[in-house]
Amino acid sequence: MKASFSRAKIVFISVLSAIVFILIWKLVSLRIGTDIILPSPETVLLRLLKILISVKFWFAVGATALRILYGLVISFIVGFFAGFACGKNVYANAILSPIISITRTTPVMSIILLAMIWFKTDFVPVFVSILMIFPIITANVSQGVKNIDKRFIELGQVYHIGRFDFFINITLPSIAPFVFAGLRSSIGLAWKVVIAAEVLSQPIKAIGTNLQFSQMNLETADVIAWTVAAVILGRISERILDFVVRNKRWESP
Amino acid sequence: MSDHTIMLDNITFSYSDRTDNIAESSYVFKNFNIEFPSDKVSVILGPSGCGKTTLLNIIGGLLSPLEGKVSFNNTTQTSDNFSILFQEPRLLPWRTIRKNVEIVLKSKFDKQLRRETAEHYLSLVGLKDSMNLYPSELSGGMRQRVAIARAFAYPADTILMDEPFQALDIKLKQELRALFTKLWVEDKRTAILVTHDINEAVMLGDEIFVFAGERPVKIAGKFVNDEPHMNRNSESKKSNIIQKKLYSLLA
Repeated sequence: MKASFSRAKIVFISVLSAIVFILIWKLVSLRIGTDIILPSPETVLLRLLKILISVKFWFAVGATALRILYGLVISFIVGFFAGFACGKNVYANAILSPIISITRTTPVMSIILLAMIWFKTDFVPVFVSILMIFPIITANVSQGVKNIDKRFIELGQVYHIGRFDFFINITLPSIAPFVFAGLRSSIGLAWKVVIAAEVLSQPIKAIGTNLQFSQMNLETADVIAWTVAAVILGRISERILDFVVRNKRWESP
Repeated sequence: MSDHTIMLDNITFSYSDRTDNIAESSYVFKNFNIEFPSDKVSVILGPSGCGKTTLLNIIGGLLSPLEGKVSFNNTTQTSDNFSILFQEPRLLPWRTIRKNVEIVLKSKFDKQLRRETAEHYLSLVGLKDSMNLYPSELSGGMRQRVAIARAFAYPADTILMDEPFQALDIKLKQELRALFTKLWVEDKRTAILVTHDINEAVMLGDEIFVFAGERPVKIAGKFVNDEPHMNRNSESKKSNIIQKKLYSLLA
């Protein structure tokens, strides 16, 4: 990027864009004139503040966040081992790749509907997020394993670096950026998929359940307020991951 | 002192997968013999792509010959105890330079000794104060010094060097050659240096083997430089004579 685009300038343009978006929203809502179709920004903001101070909200957020965490952790573990096997072994790759490509192209809704038949409502969103995310982690880990610098493999051979030390000192740091790139792109997806599954499976405490409930009652402002909350939470979780990953050394040699 | 001679006996090698009916010129080595004396610096000098690195990889066990064998210590016993100085420093970017040296010592020493050895050799190459830095925080010359420290810290009888000074500017090249000589004189091992730099060959080599750029490889000449390492300089008469011969052979 050119030096003339200073950071302050970029932030200013982004803020301006957000303000213009909200202004257009306001104008359209004035033109429509009814809150059921499109509530005004300030109505949504008030609803959001009201939701934020309710106990119901925090229970829902906690439950949904926990499902996302479960989904990510299980996907991470499954994806790590599957990806490692795929990257190391042609046969493992041959066995796993059709399963992965099938899950990748299956419509999310089909998985949700099937999961609702098979599992309790609380577990449906977790299951769906695992099926959506583990292929991403698998692909990334496998890519990372295949990308381990051949020169470091030679180094390990020449200096007799043992299997365990090689794994800790060469394999893990080599695949770490791939793993985190996979996690980074999975978090946003996890929020979307888990909430979608909650809308259909209706666990008692869930953001998705509340969204669905507001929609049924034609509380459009509430639907948008819950959505805004979900977007903000998604961003926060991405930022948390970025913070954890920051300052780690895995730049290429 | 035990004998660390390295002998290559009737080596045949080709990068082609086929073993029958391949053209003579697709063999890098065919029934090739060479002997590297114990605890001396042998130099393989030749143009780029002449098979120097291939030979080093065969000795180091990174490539297997189709026929023939590499023997060590005048026995048929195979060795897998080498240090290698690569063309580039080849340091792990995610480990400090102290850790980079310690990692290769793991199979050899306990923790305490690893630490002491790494510190000792890093001090010898003048990086005592930089031990906790990461490779990205060092200059190119400093990184290659870490690689030299790592190669000497590893308790191998043999050091294989694949044009380790090639990528450096003239001043750094001289500095690092002097550093290598200093370490080597104190701690002599069988060293094999691959290079296309005639001056480097004369400055560092006790025995210089010239590879001509033909396939399969033939030794076009062998020179001995018996001047003590610490006394060598580019101006000395002996060096000049060898250099002239090498130039005429490679021109």
